[in-house]
Amino acid sequence: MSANKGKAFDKSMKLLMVGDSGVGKSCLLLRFVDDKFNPSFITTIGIDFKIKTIDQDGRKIKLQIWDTAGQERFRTITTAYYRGAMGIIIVYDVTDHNTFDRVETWYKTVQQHAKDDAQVIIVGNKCDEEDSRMVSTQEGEELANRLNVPFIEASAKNGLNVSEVFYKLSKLILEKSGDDFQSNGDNGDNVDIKNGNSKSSSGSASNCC
Amino acid sequence: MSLKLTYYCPFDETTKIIRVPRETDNLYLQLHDSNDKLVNPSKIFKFSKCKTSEPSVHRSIHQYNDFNCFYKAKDIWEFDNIGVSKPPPNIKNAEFIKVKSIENGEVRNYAIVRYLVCGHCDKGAFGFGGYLLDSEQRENHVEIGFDLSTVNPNDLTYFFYY
Repeated sequence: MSANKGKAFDKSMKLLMVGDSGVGKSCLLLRFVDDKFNPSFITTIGIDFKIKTIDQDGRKIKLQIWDTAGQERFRTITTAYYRGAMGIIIVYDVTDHNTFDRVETWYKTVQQHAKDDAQVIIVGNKCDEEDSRMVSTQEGEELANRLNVPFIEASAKNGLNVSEVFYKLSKLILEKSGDDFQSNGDNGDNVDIKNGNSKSSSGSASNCC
Repeated sequence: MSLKLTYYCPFDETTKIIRVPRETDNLYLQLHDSNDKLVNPSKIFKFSKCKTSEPSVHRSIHQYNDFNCFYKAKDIWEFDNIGVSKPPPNIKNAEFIKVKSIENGEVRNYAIVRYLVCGHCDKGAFGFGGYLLDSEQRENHVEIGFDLSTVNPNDLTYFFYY
């Protein structure tokens, strides 16, 4: 509509996925499809982040979802990744108990690096693989209750609950932050992950969520 | 009638990729320069045209048909649903593209740092994120093996294959 002029969306937020390697973070972001057009292109290059526009109670929300796959080892990069993140998705693999045991460590890392009001959600991935499941849904729920964060089981493989993860987290961010955080699309500094000394971090600290 | 035209993924036909103003000067034509060894897109794949619900005007203009045309987005947030690829490990692996502004004829060189694919089905590509380099810079950067992953994705110029 013309009344909107340049403003094409109501909110934008940066979300980040963390968790042990192999838990399927990339798969939550990347849909593995039979790609007869560019068979190897996207699987070889990989996706760094996605912009997704969702409708949340009539509000148009733009999500920028970052994958940290392969970056876990590089502590400095990881720290930079957290900058500006309003939501963190901690992913574990329900077929690998070690990845579940590490969730609390990831939670502490998040507490350490993310801003205080960043919202967290715990995701048990690969829930389609019932035969090799090592972590029960109840275990996941109990941990989430103890940490006081929401919990969801998902399967990147069959698509179960994948979009729910992003809906749930963005809704939580909206509820918790209300209209406090910067609206509209000019918080582009959220994109900044590698370059720590951007305008926003040297200028007004309150500018960027 | 809306002031913007919505472009959909041509593969899944439902994902909204971007809405482009019907009247815009931010259009660029790709130049093919056989003398320029660095200009090489695209060895990896071809760009795919997104669909609209109505035929777009420029495709009826004869002179555009032989050229790849790109719409220069304001920034990455102008896209509705898009996947942004990782940068190449080294500028030596990067592709370079030369484009000319339709508005003023200005010619610009970009290193392609990121490709844009469908935010849902991951097919594409529908455009790229380019790092602006003049000819001299470009040679220097290639010579020293400039690391494109250090470039803030927010500082790239995003082009949508139009």
